Amino acid sequence: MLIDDNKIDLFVNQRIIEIYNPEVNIRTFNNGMSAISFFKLLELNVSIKSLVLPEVVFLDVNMPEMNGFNFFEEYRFLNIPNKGSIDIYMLSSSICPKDIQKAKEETFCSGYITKPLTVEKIKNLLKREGMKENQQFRKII
Amino acid sequence: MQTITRTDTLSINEKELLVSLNDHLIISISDISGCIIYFNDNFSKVLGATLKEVHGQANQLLKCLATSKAIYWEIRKTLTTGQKWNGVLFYESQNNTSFWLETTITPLKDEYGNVIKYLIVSRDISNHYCDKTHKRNIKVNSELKAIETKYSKIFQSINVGIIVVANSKGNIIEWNKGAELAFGYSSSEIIDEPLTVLISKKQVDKGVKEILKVKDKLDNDTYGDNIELLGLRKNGEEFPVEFSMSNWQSGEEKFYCAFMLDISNRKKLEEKLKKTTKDLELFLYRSAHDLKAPLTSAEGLLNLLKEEKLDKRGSFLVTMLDETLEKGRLLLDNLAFASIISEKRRAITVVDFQKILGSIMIALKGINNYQSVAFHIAIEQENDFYFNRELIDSILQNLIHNAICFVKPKTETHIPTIRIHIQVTKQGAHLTVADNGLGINKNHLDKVYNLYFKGNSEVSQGTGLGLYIVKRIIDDFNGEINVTSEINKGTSFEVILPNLIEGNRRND
Repeated sequence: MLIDDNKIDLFVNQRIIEIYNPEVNIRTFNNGMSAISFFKLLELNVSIKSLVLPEVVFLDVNMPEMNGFNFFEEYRFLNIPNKGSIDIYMLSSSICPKDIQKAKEETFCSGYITKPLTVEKIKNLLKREGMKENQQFRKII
Repeated sequence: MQTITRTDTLSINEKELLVSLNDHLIISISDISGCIIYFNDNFSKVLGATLKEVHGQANQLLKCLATSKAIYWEIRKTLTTGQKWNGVLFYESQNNTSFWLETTITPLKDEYGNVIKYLIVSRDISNHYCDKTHKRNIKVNSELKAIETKYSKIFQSINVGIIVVANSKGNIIEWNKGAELAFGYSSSEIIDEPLTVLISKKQVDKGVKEILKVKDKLDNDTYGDNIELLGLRKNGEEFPVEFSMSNWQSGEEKFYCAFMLDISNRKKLEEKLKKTTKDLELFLYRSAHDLKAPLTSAEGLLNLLKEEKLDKRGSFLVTMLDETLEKGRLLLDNLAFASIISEKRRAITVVDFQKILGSIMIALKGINNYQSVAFHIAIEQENDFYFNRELIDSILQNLIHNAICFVKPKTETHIPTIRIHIQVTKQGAHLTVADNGLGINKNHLDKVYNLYFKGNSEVSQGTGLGLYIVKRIIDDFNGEINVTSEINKGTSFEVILPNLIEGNRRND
């Protein structure tokens, strides 16, 4: 799942994931609210087949109305099955230490990745994920 | 015809003489211990006492009428050697009339030459004396008056400065116009009040402590510092004042004069400046970040472009675009960093130079020339060094980066060398980064710290921000930076930074 208000970034990230693995099922949202709505639908209709729980979410930090951190404030109260298995990574062009610290403190945030997203970064991410089962925060710059 | 004998003449004359003397002079006789045993009418007029009251008492003229202790002892000394004493004594009678008495004291001796009594003969010269001194006094008085008027006018009319005079107990005894305007109390309201009513209740303890500190310094004859206090107006308003004090002594009493300057406007401007600077920094920071977003988007697109099958020309253009974007990103990162330097002073930790230099070397590996350079690193460390790690990192990285950029190409006779020397004491750290590279043109030496100044554009890979950032950091911490350079010989940067061990830190 990709959440980003910037259409170009959305496009680039989608393409990069496709290059990494063309089989991956990608869903894109251009704002945080519609992503939350999607999760709410999941909450209600767990049985609907087309609504698949995402494995990985890339969440842009700087978005209008609802930014990446606001997203978590809503996400926190959602009651979706296997919530813990969803890895949410924050994506940002900034390497602001404050943002990274904030992301670290966020319970449901699995890591912080700087833009642009590249195939190497995804490989890096999933490789490490395979190695360590305990939920640890990942910073990939 | 009656013959007038010599004795007669003498006795008549003596009698007349005695009467006349008695009329004009103040005569008394005291015994050896100073008790009065005789005095004439004039004496009782002056003293305002009768024989009964004074009889047997120590001679006032001798004891307390002497205008000073010194004169009293002088009289005693003269008399004990059996000699006469002449001089002017001063006496203020019970009804507050003062007398100036020209006095002769004669020791009277018995047949064996022992002093048994004193004859004290005084002439009232008050009129004459007063006239003379009075005239002089009037002149002195009028001069004094003129001076006093002048100063009190100056004192009173100064309405920009607040002047308060206090005694040693800290109570206000004088109050000028400026003080009245600033604090709102009139002279009559404030005189005799303690100085502390003028200090904000919030700061009273701290304020009094500081004032006492200044007072102690003054008492020890050293200059007191100027201090800043929060003043309290009659209506309860608070306002900042700059406070300095001077003192003087008059007799036993010490006086303290407090000069205060209302610095509300200055403070307001200071605050405004601080806020504006902060806003500007934030603006710069946000701008740098926001500008970076489209740059990273472009970078992402470029990455996709690289995946496409491109011909030679295309991939050449992609590489150039890549470099351009990289430069832009570096510039924005530096700008963002420069904008938050002052914020970083809060995070002070022990600095591990070995580790920092290690990570810098890794970071700089990618730049041209790196492989050709020989590094000589020496770290002498007596003490732990406390500073902001990121800032130290930035200083060293920028200096070393520059040194690498401006090396001369390696030849058989020339090995590009960069010496990094770090010396840490309890007071601070002395960092030197010296190269044997191209050197800096003398005319440019004072410009190297300028924003966006760049060296030789052919070799320069920088953003023009590096040394600006270095200088900003060093200035922010009251450090020092010096550069010496010679064309084709090399450049050396020396940096001195304070060791921010607890206690050395400046409170901001």
